[in-house]
Amino acid sequence: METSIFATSLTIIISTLLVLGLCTAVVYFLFLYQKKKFRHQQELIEMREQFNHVLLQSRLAIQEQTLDHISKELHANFSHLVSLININLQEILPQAPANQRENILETKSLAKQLMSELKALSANLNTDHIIHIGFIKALENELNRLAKTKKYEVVITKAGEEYRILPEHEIILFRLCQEVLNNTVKYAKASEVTASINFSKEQFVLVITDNGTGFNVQDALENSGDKQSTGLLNMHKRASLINAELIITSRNGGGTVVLITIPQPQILKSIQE
Amino acid sequence: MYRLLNHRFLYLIPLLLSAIFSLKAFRLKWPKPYRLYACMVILSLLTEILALAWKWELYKWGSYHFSQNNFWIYNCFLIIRFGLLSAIFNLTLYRNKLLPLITGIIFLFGILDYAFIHGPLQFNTYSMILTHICIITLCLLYFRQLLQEPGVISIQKEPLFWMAISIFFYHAVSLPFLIMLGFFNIQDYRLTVLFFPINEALNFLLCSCYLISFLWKPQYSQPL
Repeated sequence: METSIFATSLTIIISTLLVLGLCTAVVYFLFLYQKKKFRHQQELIEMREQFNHVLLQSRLAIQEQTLDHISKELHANFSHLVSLININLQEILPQAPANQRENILETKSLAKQLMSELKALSANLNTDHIIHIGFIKALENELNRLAKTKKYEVVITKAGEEYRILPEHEIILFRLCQEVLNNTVKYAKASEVTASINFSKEQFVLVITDNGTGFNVQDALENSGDKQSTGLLNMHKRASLINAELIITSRNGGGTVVLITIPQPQILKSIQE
Repeated sequence: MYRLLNHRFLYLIPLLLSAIFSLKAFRLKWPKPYRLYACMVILSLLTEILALAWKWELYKWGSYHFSQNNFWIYNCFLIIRFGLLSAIFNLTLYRNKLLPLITGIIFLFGILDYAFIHGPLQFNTYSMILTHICIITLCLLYFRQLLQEPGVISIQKEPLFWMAISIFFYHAVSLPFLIMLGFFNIQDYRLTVLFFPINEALNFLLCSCYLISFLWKPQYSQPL
């Protein structure tokens, strides 16, 4: 009797433990499945980010190709046409009546101005030219163009030993700066533009400041979707492509400061002046 | 008070702590299922206190001496607890059309069982076995929903998940014993007594899971 009770007790305990084990197995497999699902979700997010990154790079590459094409067309076709206009004007000048000579001379001057603007624009759009002269020189040219309009007082300061970074990064950085300067011209109503560049091995720092009307950065980012204005978003995307940090500080009536920082830049070569 | 310093009442520690932590469900205004869960935990604690108090002191009500048997307290609690659990699962499960009907039927049967069939002073009643089966099914349906969820949640941080596994463990492991309890009683009372340490261990596990659940907060599904 005692033995049978002992056997029954043992059976009860073992079967209880078995059921407990079964329940544990059910819960364990549930955890395992969720972990797998979570890992899958992470992989999907990574793939999406990678895809977006590649898409952005392709878009920028197509943009550069288009700009290159436009640059070459400007140089080859439009410059050529302006030259012909100049030549024709030169030919008709001796035969023109005296009261019209002044007009013709003025037209020639305008044609010459147009020629130099076309050349400058063509150079700005030409990727090969920018790579050839380097980012610093290209930025200086861009700022000098602003200064020539006599509407802006431009100051450029450099600190540290100047160097060049990867050409692909220089192009993106230059387009970023072009976007910043375009915004200054279009919206800021500024009179002073300052560019300060700091070269160091640890980081490359570029600060572009203006004394314009300023704007609410958060509002501009939030309303970019409604107004279909994606300039600021594009700037952030370009910056992320070259691992740069872009910080825009501005307030209404207080000017704007654009800070671009590239940590641990991939230095191509130092420029020895 | 010294009577509580016994291994049989070890489960009261995590139960008390989980009842205290469950108050944050009301303070932080968690969604309804979590607040109902908090109510269930607090009710469990109050039931345990009342049941122990009845067994030790309260059965002697002035000059009246009632039966020391406190199963009627547990049986009342089981009805209310079953109602709360059904409400929680009704709010949590997506496909729950039959649940209110099944709950109503079991609820009515429970009242009939305690009133006329077994009486309130018996432990292993038909309604207890029915509620065990119903609760195990609801837990499995919840686990199935978690598996089929389109989004992803960290289940180890989800309070309702811990509630589900705790009640799943408790009811699934104790159900076979409960079904056989009558038979064991006939064979030898010592086999019935074996239920108590198993029940104590399961209670401790149940209350510990309650406590763990209130250390986290409600998770919201992240889309894939």
